Amino acid sequence: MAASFGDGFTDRLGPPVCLGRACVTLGSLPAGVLVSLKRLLLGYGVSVLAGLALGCALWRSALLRELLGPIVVGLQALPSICWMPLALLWFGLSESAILFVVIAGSLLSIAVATEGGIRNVPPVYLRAARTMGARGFTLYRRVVVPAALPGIVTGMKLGWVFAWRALMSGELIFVAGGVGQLLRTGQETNDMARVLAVFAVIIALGLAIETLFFARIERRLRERWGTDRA
Amino acid sequence: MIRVEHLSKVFRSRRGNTLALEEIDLTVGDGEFVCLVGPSGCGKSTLLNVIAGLEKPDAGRVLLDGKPITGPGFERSVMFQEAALFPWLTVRKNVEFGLELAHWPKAEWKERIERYLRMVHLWRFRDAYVHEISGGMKQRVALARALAPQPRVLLMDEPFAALDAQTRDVLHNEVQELWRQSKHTVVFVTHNVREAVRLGDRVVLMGSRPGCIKEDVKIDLARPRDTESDVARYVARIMKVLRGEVEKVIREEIDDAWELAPQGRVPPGSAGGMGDGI
Ligand SMILES: Nc1ncnc2c1ncn2[C@@H]1O[C@H](COP(=O)(O)OP(=O)(O)OP(=O)(O)O)[C@@H](O)[C@H]1O
Ligand SMILES: [Mg+2]
Repeated sequence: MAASFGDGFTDRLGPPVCLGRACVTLGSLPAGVLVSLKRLLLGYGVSVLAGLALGCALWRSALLRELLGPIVVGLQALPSICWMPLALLWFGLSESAILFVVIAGSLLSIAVATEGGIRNVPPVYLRAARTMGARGFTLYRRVVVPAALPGIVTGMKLGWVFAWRALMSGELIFVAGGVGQLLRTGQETNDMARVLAVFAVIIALGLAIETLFFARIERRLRERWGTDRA
Repeated sequence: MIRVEHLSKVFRSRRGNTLALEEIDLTVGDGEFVCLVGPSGCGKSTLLNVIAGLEKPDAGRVLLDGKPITGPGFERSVMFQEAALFPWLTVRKNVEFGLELAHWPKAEWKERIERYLRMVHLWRFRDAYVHEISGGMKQRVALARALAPQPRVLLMDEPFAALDAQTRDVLHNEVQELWRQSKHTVVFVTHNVREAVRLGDRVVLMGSRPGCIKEDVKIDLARPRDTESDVARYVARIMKVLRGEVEKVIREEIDDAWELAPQGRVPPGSAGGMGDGI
C-alpha cells in the first residue's frame, strides 16, 4: 500500500525503518520532556492556585464580578498563542515568557469554572453549615470548596489541557528546549520519525495524566455523590 | 427560653415589599415543644430563620435566655425540609461535622456519633454516602446531626413534609421519644395540623398578610400521643380557624377568578390535606 504513495513517501515513512529510528530518537527525548514538564507543572500550579483564588473572589464580590467578569470571559476565549507577542515584549526571550503564556492560557478557564462551581452550590448547604456554626474561612474550606469540587475539577481538567496546548504552541514558536522544540527540530531536519515520536510522547503524557490523575478523581467524586448511577 | 419581641420582617424585592412578619410576640419556655402552623406564605419559615439567626429582623428582636440573637450559632440546631446533608461526606462524617464546629473535644466524637446514630437506628449505615440512603433515613441522619452537639434549641422547618405517611409516623414516634429523654426546646414548623397536635405542647396558629399570630392553643394531652380521638378534637378546633386563613390567602391569590368559583368556598383539596396524611 505504501508503494502507491511513491518512493519518497516510503522513504520517509517506511514503517520498519521509521519505527527503528523513532526508537532511537525516543532515547533523546527525556531531557526535552523534563524541561516541558517542569514548565507545565510550574505554570499550571500557579494557574490552579491563582484561578481558585480569582474564582472565589469573583463569586464573593459583586463589584469585582461587574468589573472583571466580561474581561475574564472575553480573554478566556482568546487562543493562548495570542499572548505570545505580549509575553515577548514584557519578558523577552526568557523562561518567564513561556510560563506567562502557560498561565495566561489556563488561569482564566479555571477561575471561570471555579466561580460557576461555587455559584451552583445549593444554598441549603451553606445555610445548614452556618447554623452549625461555620463561618468565614471554615465555611469555605469545609463546605464551599467540597460542594463545588465537581465543577472545580472539571475546570482544572480544562485548565490542564489549555496549559499543555499553550506550552506546545509557545515552545514551537519560541525555541528554548522542551517537547515543542523537539517537534520543530524534527520538522526542520525533515525527520518524520522524530516528529512522530514526539507525537507519541505528547499523547502518552496526556493520557497518563488523564487516567492516573483526573479520571481517578472524577471517579471518586462520582462514587461519593452518586452521580454515576444513571 | 426564647423570647420573640415585636418582631417585624420585610422582604424587599424588585416586585415590591412583602411584610412577612408584623409585630410578632412569642415566648417558648425551656423544654417546650411549640408547633407553628399556618397557611402557605404566612411567614413560618421566616420566623424560624430569624430565630436561627439566618435572617435579620427589621424591627424587634429575639432573645435566647435574655441575650439577643445576632447570627447563627450551634446552640440552635436547625433541620430543614431537605435533609441538607453533605453529599461529599459519609453519614458518620456528617454527624461529626456538627460536633467539630461546636468545638466538642475530639476524644468524645466517636462515642457521641455512635450514640446518636444508634438513637435514630442508623449505626449500620455509618459509612454510607448520602446518596446511598433513603429520604427518611436522610432526615434521621439530619436529626442525629442536629442533636449530637447538644444544642439548647432545635428548630425544625417542615422536616418530614417530603416523606411518606408511614415513614413520617415512625419519625414522629422517634422525635417524641428523643424529646422525652432530652427535653430540648423545640420550635417545629408544619402545615399539617395533625402533626402539630400530635407533637406539640402548644400549637401556635399563624395568619398571613402580614404574618401574625392568630391563636396559641395549649395541647393538654398525655404523651405518648398515638390515640386518635383526642388528637382529632384539637385538630378540628384548629382547622376551623385555619380554614378561614387559608381561604383568605387563596382569595387573594386567585384574584377575580374567585368571584367565578361556585359558592365561594375553598376549592376541594386546598385546605384539605392539612389535617390528614399521618
Ligand atoms: N427571600 C425572600 N424574598 C422576598 N420575599 C420572601 C423571601 N422569603 C420569603 N418571602 C415572602 O415572605 C412571606 C413569608 O414566607 P415564608 O417562607 O416565611 O412562608 P411560610 O409560612 O414558610 O410558607 P410555606 O408554608 O409555604 O413554607 C411570603 O409571602 C414570601 O413570598
Ligand atoms: Mg416555609
